[in-house]
Amino acid sequence: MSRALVVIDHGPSTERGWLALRTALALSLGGHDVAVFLYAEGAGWALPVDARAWLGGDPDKEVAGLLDDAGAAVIVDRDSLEAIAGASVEPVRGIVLAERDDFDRRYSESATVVSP
Amino acid sequence: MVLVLCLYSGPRSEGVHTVRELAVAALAKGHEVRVFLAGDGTAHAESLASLRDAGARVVGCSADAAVRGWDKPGTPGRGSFVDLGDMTSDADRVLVF
Repeated sequence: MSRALVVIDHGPSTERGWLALRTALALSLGGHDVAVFLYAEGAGWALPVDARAWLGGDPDKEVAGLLDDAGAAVIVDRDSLEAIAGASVEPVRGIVLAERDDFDRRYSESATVVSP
Repeated sequence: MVLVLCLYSGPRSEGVHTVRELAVAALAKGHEVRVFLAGDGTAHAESLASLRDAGARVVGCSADAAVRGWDKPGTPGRGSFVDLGDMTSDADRVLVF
């Protein structure tokens, strides 16, 4: 099983962010060991999502699917999250704050890196 | 090499041009090419259909096309992100535009 890293820098306010989450799920379906790095506006996916746009879907379920069904590691950039929500806000269940070397380590370990 | 090209950008970007040129060049070199369209990228289903004749697999998310009003039932290449999973299972490179 090869490792794949999906870098998401589009937040819940755009369809592109949702497409990125669906891409991560697809890579998981393809047998990849997927990690997701939420960055910039993409850090918005680490907060409670109330968007209900596009196809009548529920983008928040894609996050839950990545965590619970795909077993993906979903990490969020600390500075990006603070910029969006303030320093005291914690990511939602299952999403963890990135440590200093998380991105570099996961990037170097991944055979596939995409930023939809 | 198995190359997967995802196109999520619509007609107002040059993504479709890049995908077409990359696909044609890779096919000419004997590589296997798979193209997946989603979001606004589903607008290019017809313009990229000719890549099939050159040997590429071209699949679009029919749900994304339908919500935009341009899905055409019965045409080849209608699929979903499940197909993208299959397309990436043995891919050497995955690129998103």
